[in-house]
Amino acid sequence: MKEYLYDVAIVGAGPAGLAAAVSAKQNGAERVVLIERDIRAGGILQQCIHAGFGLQYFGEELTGPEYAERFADKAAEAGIDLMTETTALEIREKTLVCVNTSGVVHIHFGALILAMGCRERTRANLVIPGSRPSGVYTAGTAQKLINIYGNKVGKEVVILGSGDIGMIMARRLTLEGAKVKAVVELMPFLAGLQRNKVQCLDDFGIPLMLSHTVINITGVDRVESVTVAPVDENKRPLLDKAEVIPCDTLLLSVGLIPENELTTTAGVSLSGITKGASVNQFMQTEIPYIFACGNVLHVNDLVDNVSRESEKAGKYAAKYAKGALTSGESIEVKPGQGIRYVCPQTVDKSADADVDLFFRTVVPARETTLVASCNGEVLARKKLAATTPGAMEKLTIPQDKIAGLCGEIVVIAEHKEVLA
Amino acid sequence: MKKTIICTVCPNGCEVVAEYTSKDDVQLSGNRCKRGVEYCINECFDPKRTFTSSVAIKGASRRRMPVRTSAPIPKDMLFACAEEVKKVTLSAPAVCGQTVIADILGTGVDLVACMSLDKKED
Repeated sequence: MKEYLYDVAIVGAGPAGLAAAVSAKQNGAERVVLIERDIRAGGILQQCIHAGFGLQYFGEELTGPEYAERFADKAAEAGIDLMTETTALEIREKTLVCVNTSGVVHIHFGALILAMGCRERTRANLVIPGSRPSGVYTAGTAQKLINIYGNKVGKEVVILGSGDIGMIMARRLTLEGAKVKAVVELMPFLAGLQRNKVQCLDDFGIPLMLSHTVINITGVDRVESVTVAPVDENKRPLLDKAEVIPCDTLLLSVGLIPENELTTTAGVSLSGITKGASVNQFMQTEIPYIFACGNVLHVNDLVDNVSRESEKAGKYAAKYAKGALTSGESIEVKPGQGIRYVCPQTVDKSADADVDLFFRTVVPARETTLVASCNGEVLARKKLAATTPGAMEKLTIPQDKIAGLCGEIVVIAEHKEVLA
Repeated sequence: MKKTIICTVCPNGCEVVAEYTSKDDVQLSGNRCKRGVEYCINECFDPKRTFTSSVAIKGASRRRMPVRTSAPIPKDMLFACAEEVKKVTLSAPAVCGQTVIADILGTGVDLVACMSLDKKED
C-alpha cells in the first residue's frame, strides 16, 4: 500500500478543486494534491462546450473546456500534484483512503477539501410511470455522449425540466439535426437562466410548456411517446387535459444533488435543503480539518462563483494546515421570509475579511429588497430590479460589523411584485 | 417595423419592444435600464451568436474536440456552420486556440479549438 503526506488534499479536480488547490498553494501550503477519478482535470466543464463561462471571473466569455484549461494550467504551474484515475473511498480521521491501479492509497493530510461536485436527478428520483425503454437520459449524460463520445442520442426529443443543462442540450440537439418538440417545466416559471431561454429555446422556436409535467412514457425497446399534462396549483396533473407527444428520446433536466457519500464517511452531517455540508465563511465544516466548496456544498448556476468560493476554501484550509486558522464564537445564519437557503450557514466571529452570504430566493419577482440583519440591526441591504430562484444572490457583511454580533443573522427578501 | 426582444444583458430580462424604420430610427420601450440598448438594436438588424460545437479528433483520449467561433457570427448562419464542422477531422495533438476552420463560411471569423488534447499513448 502506498502512503503520501500532504498539507492540503482536495477531492475532485473540477473547477472547485482546481481553484481551491491553486489558492491553497498561493496561501502557503507547500504540498497540495488533487485526487481525481477521471483521466484528466476539468470535471464537468469538459463536456460543457457552450460559451458563457468566465464573464465575471475573467471578464470574457469562454467555453467550459477553455475555462477548465486555464485553471488546470495554473495548478500545473503552481506545482500541485494531480492524481488521476484515483477514487476516494473513505475519510478516516486525517487520512483519505483511495484506490487506483496501484491498489489502495492512503493520503495523510493536514486539511482536506471536499470538491466532488454533484450528480443529476434521474427518472428514478422522479418516479415517472410507464415502460422502461431505452432513450431516457439525464441531460448531462446526453451531453457527455454527444460532446465527448460523438454519439447521437435521438431524433425527436422532449426535455423535462427547464434547468440550464436541459435548455443548452435543446440547442445542441437542434443544431445536430434533431427535432426538440418541447421543454416541459413543472413550475410556473423557468428553472434556469433567462439568457439560456432566449439563446437556446426562442432562437430555434422550441416551445416551453410551463406548469406541465410528463406523466407517462411508452415504448418497448425504444421510447415511442411521452404523455404531457398541465398541473394545477398543487402540482397535480390534470389527466383530462393530457396530450401524447410522439418522440424517441426523453431528456431529464430536473435538478442536481451534491455528491456527498464520501462526506458522510467522515461523520459530517448534511443540510436537508442544500444536501451539502454546513460551513462557516472559511468554508470549514463541523469537522475543523474538513472544508467544502463548489457544487458538493450547494448547487451553483455560475462557475465563476464556484471559483471564488473555492479560493476561500483553499486559503483557509492552507491556514488550518499551518495551525494559523483561529476560530471564535459561531453565529448561525438563517433563511428568513422569501429565502430558500443561505450558504455559509454559520459565521465565525474571528472574521479576517468581509463575509459574503450566498442564497437563493423562493419565487421570481420584481423590485426585490434583500436584507441581512441581526437583532434588528441591518448588516447588509441590496435593491434589485428583478430576482429569480434560478440566479444565486449575494450580500456582503462588512468585517467590522461581525465581532460585535450576538444572536443569529437572518436574510430576507421583500418583493414589490411576485411573478407567476 | 416592430419587434419584441427579451434583453439578456442583465438579469432583469426586460421584454423590450423595438419600433423602427431604419438603424438610425429605433424607439425602444419596456426596458428598465439603458444597458441593453445596443443589444436590442443589434437584435433588430444584425443578431449574432457565438457558435459552439465539436469536431472529430483522432488519436486523443476523447473522440470530439470542442470548438467555437472566435467571435459571434450572424445568427442565421448557425445551421450552416453546424454542417461545415461535420467535414473536419483533426489529429492529436492539438492545442487550445488553434484554428480549425479559417474564415468559416466567409464570416471573417475563425473556428478555433477549445481544448488541448495530447496524443494518446498506448
